[in-house]
Amino acid sequence: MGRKKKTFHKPSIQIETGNDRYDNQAGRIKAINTWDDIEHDSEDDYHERRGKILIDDSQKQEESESSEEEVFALQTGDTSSEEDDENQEDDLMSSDDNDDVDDFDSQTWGTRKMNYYDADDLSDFDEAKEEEEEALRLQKKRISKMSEEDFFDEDIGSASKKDTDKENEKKLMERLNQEVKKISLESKGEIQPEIMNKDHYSNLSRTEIIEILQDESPELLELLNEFKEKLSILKNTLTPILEKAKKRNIKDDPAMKILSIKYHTLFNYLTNISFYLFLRSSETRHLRTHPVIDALVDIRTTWDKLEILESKMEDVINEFIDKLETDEQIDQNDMAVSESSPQKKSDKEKSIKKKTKESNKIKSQQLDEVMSEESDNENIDDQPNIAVTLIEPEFVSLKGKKKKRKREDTDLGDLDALDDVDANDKTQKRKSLRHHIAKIDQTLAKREKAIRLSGDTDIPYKDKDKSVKPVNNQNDGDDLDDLDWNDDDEKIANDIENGGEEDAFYLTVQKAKKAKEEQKKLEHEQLVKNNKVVYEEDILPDGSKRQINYQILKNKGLIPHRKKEQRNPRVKHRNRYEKAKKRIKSFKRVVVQQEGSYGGEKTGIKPKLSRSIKFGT
Amino acid sequence: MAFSVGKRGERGGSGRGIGGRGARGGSRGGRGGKPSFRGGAKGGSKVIIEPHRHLGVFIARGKEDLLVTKNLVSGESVYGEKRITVEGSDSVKIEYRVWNPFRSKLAAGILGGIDHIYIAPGKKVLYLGAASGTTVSHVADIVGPEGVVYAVEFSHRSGRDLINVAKKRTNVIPIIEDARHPHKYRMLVNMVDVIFADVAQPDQARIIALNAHHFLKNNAYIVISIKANCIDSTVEASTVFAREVKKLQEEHIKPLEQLTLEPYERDHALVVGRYIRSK
Repeated sequence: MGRKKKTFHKPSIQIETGNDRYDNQAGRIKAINTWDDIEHDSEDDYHERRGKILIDDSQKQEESESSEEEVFALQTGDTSSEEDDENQEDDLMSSDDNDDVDDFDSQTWGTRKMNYYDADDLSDFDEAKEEEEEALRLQKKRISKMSEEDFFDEDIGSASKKDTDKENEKKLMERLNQEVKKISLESKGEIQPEIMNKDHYSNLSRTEIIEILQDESPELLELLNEFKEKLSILKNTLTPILEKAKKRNIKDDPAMKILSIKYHTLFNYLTNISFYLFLRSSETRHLRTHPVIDALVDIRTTWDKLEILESKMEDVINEFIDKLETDEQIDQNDMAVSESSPQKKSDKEKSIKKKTKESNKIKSQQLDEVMSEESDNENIDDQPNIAVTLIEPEFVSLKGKKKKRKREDTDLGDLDALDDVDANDKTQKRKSLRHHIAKIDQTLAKREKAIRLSGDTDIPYKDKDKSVKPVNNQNDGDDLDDLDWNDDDEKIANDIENGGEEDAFYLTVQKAKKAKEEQKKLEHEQLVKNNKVVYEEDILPDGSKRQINYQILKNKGLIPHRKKEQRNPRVKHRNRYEKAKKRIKSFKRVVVQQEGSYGGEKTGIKPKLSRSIKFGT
Repeated sequence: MAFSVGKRGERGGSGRGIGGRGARGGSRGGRGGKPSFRGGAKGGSKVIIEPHRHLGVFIARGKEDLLVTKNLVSGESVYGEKRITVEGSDSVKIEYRVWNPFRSKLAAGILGGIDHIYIAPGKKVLYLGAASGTTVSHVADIVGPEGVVYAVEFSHRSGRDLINVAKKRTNVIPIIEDARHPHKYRMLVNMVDVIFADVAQPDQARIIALNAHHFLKNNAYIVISIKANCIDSTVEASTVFAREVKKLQEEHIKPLEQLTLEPYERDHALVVGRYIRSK
């Protein structure tokens, strides 16, 4: 107490120490009653904080436990009320009749894990049926959720929208080019299902798919186009004409013959193409070597020939068609009394005729058409069908078109005509399947060659110049004697080359060797045959099990044969020890116990033996 | 207080003086107890006797070679050993006794190839640790009637057998005394040419030196058998031998040669030295 009083009387000195306790209390220190009364250093603070955190954590943990959230919560209609869960379960039990009652509840089977697992082994028939119905229901639901937009390509829609604003023409041009490609392929979505079938293609864009296809099998796209084109020809032009001809019983006309041949060829072609497409869709391997390709090529060539023939006989055919038409018209006029519609029909016929003419002239016209089409495209883009019809008449490679367009820009107007002819030839070439196949082969060969010539692979570098043709020795070099080369000389040379009689010897040796080898091979085969395990195919009574054999039972096939002493490690070690004991006798004298009565030294006694260690004198 | 320096048979330390007939190890006796299957030299088989490098020792060459000594007392076995009778040139039958190296360290030494045993016909031998007299009988055979064997054995039991041997062989003088006190039998023993010691005692070097001081001629030889286990069982045999040799050197015995007795004995060595009383 005395001490405290002393401090009480001390004069208060205000020193700015930065420490409030000292500053305000004039150097006095508060009585220490609690932990907080003492000044804490950093260590104390640390421990304090640590304690706090721990407490906080525990609180937090408690909280989190109370408000536990599911990571992947099931999409139940209402998870909060447990009654609903029960309802759901009830629904589950009678899932067939609640379809219309509660859509939400039927969506899920409840939160119980049990409901989702171990449903594979259905014990009775009713359950299986129930499950099937449930599956069907779910499927239906999913399908109903899908809108029409899901099936459409978004690109088209957006493109058509973009058409309206013509600000960026450059982009548009690119787009258009792609579009033309697409549309030509797209018509009625013939390849669509094919492509869509493949899962890994499904998430690629259309252009990508087409590119892939072009890489993989360029003939496919062309064949598709061809198929469409030829089909239209067959449907729209040939069949009606032939039908008419049939009606009129015209058979001997040469034009008629040609047309019928054309008809059959086309038919054949189409069937082959469809077969090819079928193979393609069924992912047949080695399609390139498939006979259908050969058939396609054959028919294609005959078709080309036929077209040439047709172009020659154009007049005759046209005449024939006109005649048919006029006949028809007469007929129709006869029947016009009874029917009013025929006029329309005739119109249609006329259009058909036009088309046939078109197709006949197509080779000269098509490029112009394409050009016009392309220029038109800007206007027609929102009507893809027109584009289809425009392209239909003939397949034309787009690459060619592009080139064509560039050429058109040149100053020389005359080039066009020439270009047309060239382009015709080119397209003709391109059209042929053979061309495509050759192209594929070429690329393959190129790749192979590249591999061969590159130093990267293990294959040693091959000199390109090695393909230099062998030099003809006979004509090169100086002639030593001034004699002519005659038959005798040749004979001698041949003899020398072939080694003459020596060769016979070598031949015999070779033959003997070969025979020996063959004999060996035969023997080996025999041995293999003999050693082969022959399984006895006992006819077992129905229902009885075939016994496993001894080898399987004892697992003989996998265990190598061991000697008896090797099988038991204890015995093995014993034997080894015995052996070692004998061995050590050869380099060290070992004590042996006397066995029985002493019989003498088995190895004899050497009287002159001296083995003692002599100490130095 | 008498410390027996005796018989090799008792070298375990315990049971000293009860050593049976002094055979080394019960099992070792050829005819000892157990019925032995026939392994010995066949009777009637042809045997040729030829002398060994060491005088008085012979080799009987038959199907298996045997070390033999000429029987001093023909027609009698000492410890049940086999005898070989050979008819000499003048139709005199000479009998040889088979010397079993498993029972005699001297025989083992000879077979092992020791250079000199210094025991030869006509020599006077002091044999310390004579035991039942098996080896003593052979030594008596070797020295012959002209030589003398002073056989010292402390154990009375084996001493009895020794006396029995000595009864038949006049050149054997049995002394049933402790070898540590040579003055007790100094009246019986002359100066000797060789001391053979098989005492198997930890202080055997001292005992041998004591006896040598008393009875051995100057520059005469000592043949000692050392059993490593009996001297120091905690160290290796070779070190024991080396220590013993050193001890002998301190006692004016110059070591000449040393030979281990494998394969007949384990951790035994035969050391030959010369006693040099004064330089």
